[in-house]
Amino acid sequence: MKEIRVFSTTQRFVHWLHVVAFLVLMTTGALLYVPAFRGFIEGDGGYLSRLLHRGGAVTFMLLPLLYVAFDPRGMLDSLQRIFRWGKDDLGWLKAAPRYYFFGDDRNMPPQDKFNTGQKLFYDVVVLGMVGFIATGLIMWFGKGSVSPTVFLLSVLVHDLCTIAYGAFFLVHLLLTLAHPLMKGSIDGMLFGWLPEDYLKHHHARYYEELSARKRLVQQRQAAPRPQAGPSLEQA
Amino acid sequence: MSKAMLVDTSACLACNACTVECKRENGVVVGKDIFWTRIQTHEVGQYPTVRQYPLKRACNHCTEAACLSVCPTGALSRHEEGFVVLNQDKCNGCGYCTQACPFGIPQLDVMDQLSGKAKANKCSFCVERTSKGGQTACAATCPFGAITYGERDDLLSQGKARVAALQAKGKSKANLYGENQMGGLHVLYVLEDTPEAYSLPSQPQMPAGVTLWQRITRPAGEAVIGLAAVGVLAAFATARRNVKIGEEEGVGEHEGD
Repeated sequence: MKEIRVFSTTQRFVHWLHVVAFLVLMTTGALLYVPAFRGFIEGDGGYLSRLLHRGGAVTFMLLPLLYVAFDPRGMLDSLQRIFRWGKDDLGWLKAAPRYYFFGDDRNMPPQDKFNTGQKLFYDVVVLGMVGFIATGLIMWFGKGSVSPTVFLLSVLVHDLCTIAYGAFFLVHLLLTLAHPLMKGSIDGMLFGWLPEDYLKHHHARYYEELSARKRLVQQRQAAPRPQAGPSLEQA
Repeated sequence: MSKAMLVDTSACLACNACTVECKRENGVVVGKDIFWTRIQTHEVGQYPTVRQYPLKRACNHCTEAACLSVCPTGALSRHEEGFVVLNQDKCNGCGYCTQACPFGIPQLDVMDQLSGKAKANKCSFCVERTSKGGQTACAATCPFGAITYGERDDLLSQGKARVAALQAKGKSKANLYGENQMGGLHVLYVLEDTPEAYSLPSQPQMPAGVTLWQRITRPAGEAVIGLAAVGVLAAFATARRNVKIGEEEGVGEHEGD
């Protein structure tokens, strides 16, 4: 079966580094909220968990820098796609419950490289990163120099980001690992390639875009070059 | 019944004996601007009628304590006698209490900014002495009897009598501070002037950030994440039963294709 390249090495590396940072941050952060885990955050244990949280935070802040340094085009492309919303997204939201619960895809509108649900998640991730980093830096370095109101507000925003991030993460995790309709999709993030069939079914609009681009390139290559113009070397 | 301290500012000479004795008694870090109690002076009026009011500034041991609500480690706890105890061994230096206190009392002794190594500092009502029936070190040491340790109810009536006496002497603004603030403070103050003259908030409030955090963010967070988990598990379970072909024929080959 034909495979199509969907994610660059940088994209996959950044994704998995994000996973590591997220798990460290989420665990050390959640400890604060679960009374049963108090033993881990008292005294010296607390120093350790706060130190780990800071290590996770530095890794987390490196992610966008690594991404933009090694794959600026991929980053721009993905950013454009996840913030592009249309009326198909409404159709997706309406049809999604029947699809995800019962496998009924009759009313599912064709999707771009990222479907509506993925876009929602990635928008939360991007905005959440901004929120996490801004409020986290205030909590790390601003204690005492910003007003208590600003500090407490930062804690609040940090928490809200965690709630949104965490909820979507659970959905993301279970869809990738456990949902029968998404079987195999994790290969895209592990190896960078997905079967042509998978894209046709799950990301028809994107598949169409790729096919159209390919046809265009083939036409250009087949026909004698009409005149000098912008060349399209990459399929 | 609960214990309290009554601070009579009209008897205080700002000698700072309490400040020194507190540091000695509690082993409070020296060489840094960190105190569990200290005397602050506030100047009011215009020359030639300037007055300087002394105020013993320390934890007020609120009944509705913001610091207690935000402390994640349990380093801060409520003593059975009503006051708020800080156990520094449990403190991990997060500093939330320093930001939540409406009086700005707890101080963070930061040992390392980058790693966050720090300890909170605040009055613990000399818990080791008072638990054994003794009185607080500052009350024991004050040469002018301006600090009294005892039952809160007794001190309330003592304080009111002292205020009445001051008023009878012509100090019409004299008042007792701490009876109702933050659900009732466990440190009561006889003031000769308005609370504002001593830089005390007349109506201290639980910060909105703390209230939102406890009443809304936390339950909302649990609800949202719980709902996401339940929803996704339900989708997974239902889909497994309903989507049959997908598992045999590979990716994307399911009913309706």
